Amino acid sequence: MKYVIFIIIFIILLNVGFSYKYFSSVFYGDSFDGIPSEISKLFSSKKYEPTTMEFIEIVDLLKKQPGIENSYVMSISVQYAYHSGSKFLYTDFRAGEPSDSLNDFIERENWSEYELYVSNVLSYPRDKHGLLKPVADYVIYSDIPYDDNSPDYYASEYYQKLSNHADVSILSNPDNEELPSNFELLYKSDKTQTVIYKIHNIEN
Amino acid sequence: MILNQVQKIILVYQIIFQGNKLPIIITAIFFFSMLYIAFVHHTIWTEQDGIYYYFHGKEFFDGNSHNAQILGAPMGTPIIYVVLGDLFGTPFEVAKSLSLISGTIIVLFSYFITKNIFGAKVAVITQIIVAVNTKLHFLSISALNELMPIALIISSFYFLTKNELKNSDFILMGILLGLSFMLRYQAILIILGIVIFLFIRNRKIRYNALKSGILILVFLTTISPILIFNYMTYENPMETDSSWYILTLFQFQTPEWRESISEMREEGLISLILEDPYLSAQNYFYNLFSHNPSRLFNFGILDNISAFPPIPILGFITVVLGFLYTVKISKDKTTWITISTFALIALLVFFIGILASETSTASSSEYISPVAKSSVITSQYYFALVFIPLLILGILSLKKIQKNFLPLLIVSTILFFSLSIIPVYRSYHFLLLLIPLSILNSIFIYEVLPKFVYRLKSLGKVRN
Repeated sequence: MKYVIFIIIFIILLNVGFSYKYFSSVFYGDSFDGIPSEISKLFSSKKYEPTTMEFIEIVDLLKKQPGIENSYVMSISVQYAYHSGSKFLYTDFRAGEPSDSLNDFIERENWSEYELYVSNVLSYPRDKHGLLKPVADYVIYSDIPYDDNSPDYYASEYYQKLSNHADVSILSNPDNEELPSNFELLYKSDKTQTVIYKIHNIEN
Repeated sequence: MILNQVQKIILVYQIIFQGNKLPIIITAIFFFSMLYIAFVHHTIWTEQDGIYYYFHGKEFFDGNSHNAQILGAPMGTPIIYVVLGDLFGTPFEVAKSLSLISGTIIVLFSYFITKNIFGAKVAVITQIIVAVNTKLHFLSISALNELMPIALIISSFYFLTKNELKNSDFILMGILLGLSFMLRYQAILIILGIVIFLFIRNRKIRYNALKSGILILVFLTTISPILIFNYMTYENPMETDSSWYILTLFQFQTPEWRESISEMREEGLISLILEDPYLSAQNYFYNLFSHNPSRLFNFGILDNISAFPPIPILGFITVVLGFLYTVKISKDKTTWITISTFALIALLVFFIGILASETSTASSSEYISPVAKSSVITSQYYFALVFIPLLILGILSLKKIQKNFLPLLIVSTILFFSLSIIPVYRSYHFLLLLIPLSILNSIFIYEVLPKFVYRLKSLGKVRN
């Protein structure tokens, strides 16, 4: 019986410890540095910043933008639009033609019928039949490498490596001279490399 | 009057738990721990899928459903999120609370389901394994459309694992699975598993057909609102779009196939699979024997639902040993010859099938030597070498398996094979399997381990 109790206690400690590290990683960006280090962490007074600090900063910034409730925020993540009260234009930044300029991409100029469909059904308001023709007023982009262990990533390796689409990686470098003049940098994070641009109308 | 009510509650409690307070204590610890994390640490709604379904509910109430296409689930959850969210004014808190309640139901029912089969002691161990599972913790504090349908299915397992299945049990199962179907379509796989179980459990075909009929009829009646809504809005009672999942998730693809699939999104899953049967089969076997098992047992992926999540393979070994004990494996030669033959055939089929193929998939576009290719195949399909013999052993031992554990094993097998149509990209999509896998782990802990230790001690004494 004592072996049974031993293994149950082992499972409890292992799983509770795993959950603790999982949540501290998700909510506070903590990392696993080995068991001795983890034990010393328990007694240290170091305070961790919530991982949502940057998210809140971005949402606050968006909320302050004039007419945000009627503006489209183009991003892979819907939560910015939900919290800022804006409209949402979905993209995973794998669409268009390789020869597309950034403005072509933002205006979904050369997106295939399927790429437009996916964007439309995942955007808000929904637009399955392509009736609304939304144009992005803001774009939020972050170039995060694929990680199979992260629950945030789901696409297959094949999909991640697709290259027959517009190259928008220039967005992650606001100092690049090739960036169109109608892209106004609003925010850049040194931590997560997230960038936000306000897209001005080209005619203006 | 109040005293009478309290006495009645105490009496019901005593009848249900038979004086065993542990299940209630475990459930309470789970609930309050998750409540604390959900409402003290998880304060901002960042779950994309949850917000996606909430927005979908908004579209429904704004009358824009005809211009919307829901992916991966029916309208049940979006409607609940908006109705309750707007009623309480806090959709995020409502969604989290629903997950928390569902998680708590799963923990509580894990005890009763196991108690139905193996008694109270194994049930408590199972409940502990379920209650400490990291993925269940994560889902219980998340505002996601995942746990509610799973909790409903797991509740139906309680009736499924009863010693004697009455008509009322089939009616309740039909209702619970129907409600679950309105939130996520996977409940239909459980119905399929139960029907298969009913027909192989004994030879009373007419009797079992009647029970299946009751189950299916109640199920269809329960889901009729969602079928009618789907038909009236989209002219398809099972509205969903599988093409997006296939194009995003499949490991093996070709540009031509991508183009065809993207044009076939209205045509349903079967047509999408048949568009290139070889490519679909290649993806299916990769999912079945390589990608998905890793999400269950940690064959190198930390996101898994193993009882030992950070330790690779260990959870698989304990489950296998628990299973071998359950099927009461015999030592006769015939069983072992059959198992070995099937393992060899499986191995040969994979080797010959894949070595012979010249399909230019993305993964095989560059030249790879046959030796290297063979080792890739072996490393990809290693799970088959253990899983197929175990499956055969299970089929050969159907009569030896405890009769009310059999439906859980059949349902789990159907679910595992069916979900392998896609690579399960988040381990919690397998959370339904947490109950049967935890039961097998408990069998290992309570039955196999003490015997193993006893044998070791006896051997030690003999040597001395």
